[in-house]
Amino acid sequence: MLRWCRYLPATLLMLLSFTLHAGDEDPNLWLERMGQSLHTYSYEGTFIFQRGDRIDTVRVVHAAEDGGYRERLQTLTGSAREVIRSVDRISAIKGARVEGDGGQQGAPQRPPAIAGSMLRANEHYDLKSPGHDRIAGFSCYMLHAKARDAYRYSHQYCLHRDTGLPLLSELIDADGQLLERLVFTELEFLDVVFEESLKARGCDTRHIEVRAADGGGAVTGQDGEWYFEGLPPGFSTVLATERVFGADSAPSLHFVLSDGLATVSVYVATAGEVSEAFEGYTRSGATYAVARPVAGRQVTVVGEVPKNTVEWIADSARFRAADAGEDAPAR
Amino acid sequence: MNNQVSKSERLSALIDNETDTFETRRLIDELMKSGEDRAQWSRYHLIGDSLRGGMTQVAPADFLARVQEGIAEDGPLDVSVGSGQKLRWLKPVAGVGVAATVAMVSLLGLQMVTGGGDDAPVVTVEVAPASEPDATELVTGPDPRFARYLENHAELVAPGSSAFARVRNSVDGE
Repeated sequence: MLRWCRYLPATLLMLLSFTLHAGDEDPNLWLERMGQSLHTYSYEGTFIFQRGDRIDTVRVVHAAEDGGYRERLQTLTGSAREVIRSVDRISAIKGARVEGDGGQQGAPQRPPAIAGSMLRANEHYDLKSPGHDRIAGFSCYMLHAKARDAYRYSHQYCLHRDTGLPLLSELIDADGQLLERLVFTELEFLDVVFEESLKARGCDTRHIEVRAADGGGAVTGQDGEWYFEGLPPGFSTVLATERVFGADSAPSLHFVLSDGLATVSVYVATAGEVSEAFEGYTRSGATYAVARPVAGRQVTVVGEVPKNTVEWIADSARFRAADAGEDAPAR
Repeated sequence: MNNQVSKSERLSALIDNETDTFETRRLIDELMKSGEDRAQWSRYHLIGDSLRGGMTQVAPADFLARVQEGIAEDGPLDVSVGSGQKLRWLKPVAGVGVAATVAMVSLLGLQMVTGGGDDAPVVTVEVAPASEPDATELVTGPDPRFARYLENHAELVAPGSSAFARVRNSVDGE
């Protein structure tokens, strides 16, 4: 049965957005608009995802609702697969309260993976705009965020003129090589999203729910506290919570670190979950992951950053035993 | 701003083979000099090929740079009327575009993350026993010990990042 989802009319929001940014070419404000656009506007369209010399075409229906969003992603090429993803309001807008991160305690809550901190982004990225372009039939604002050091990749966006939605997103390494590219080929903004369009249509469907943990997450385990000391320049903790992998698994601590544009996850497996500690790394596209034992736990760092950055972050992980009163050696 | 739009339209016209000889020569000169223009040119090709439905694989990101190096080694590029040299630029991309099927790309992308079948692409994994961190052993093949973390991280990344599309590769029927 079809059911209408109620959303704020996208057209009114687009008019409001246009009024706000008319004549404004400040890259920092455009970064902020990009972050806001993801949970403000509903749309459907088709985009290409290119990673190296590989490409995929994906259909997306994205419904902004109650500050969060739901979306359905469907592959149009290759094996038919789809993902139904929902992100709640708190995760989408506020992130989770940061605890146990020294000076970050009580800091403004930020969503992961969004350029929430303009100042931080400014310090470590050189922001400039070469002008405007046209993607999927829409005028868009080109924004280049060139990394100023070797601890992060450069980003290039083309943001929808009226909404800030990234119609083009590229990740560039220090040698100028393209690592990943996402570009819309067709896009339509929606005032109303049919519930039916967000339902799974095939059997090979995965449902993903991103929910902020109750109470804002935790970094304190039963036997001590995890935190970071001496992170790479610009990176700080924006989210700390617990994740459970499998019904019978003990929860892992999960930290999300960001420099404003890049996002890195740090997972700390609890003692009962570590059957065989190991040290190593892997790479998948622009994503590096490094694993190593720290204070008797398995620490895994994953992010769209260079290898030396995930290694540095792994080296920054610290454990303070509950009964020790002082820091235990990291390794 | 107007210049940028104008350049975009001119590059688009070049790709659509709608430029005259003089404009073609001028645009190729500009492409040789500007990395940004080359990136845009590559982007337009990607979109155009996709819309035409004939896209299955694209040239490597450094394709133009390698062409440029090759041309530099071969001497000056002749772009005179009817020379055919212009097609040396354009045809290889179209040729590469039908070299493989997206179905394989999609499937292999999934296997890379989940540690699927024997045909999965090689992912270099350097593994060492926890007690001997200096004695690293180079192992090839996807490592399932990383898979759940790669997936979970991809699920959390918002569409503002190019990593957004990576959730598509995380489908494993878990």
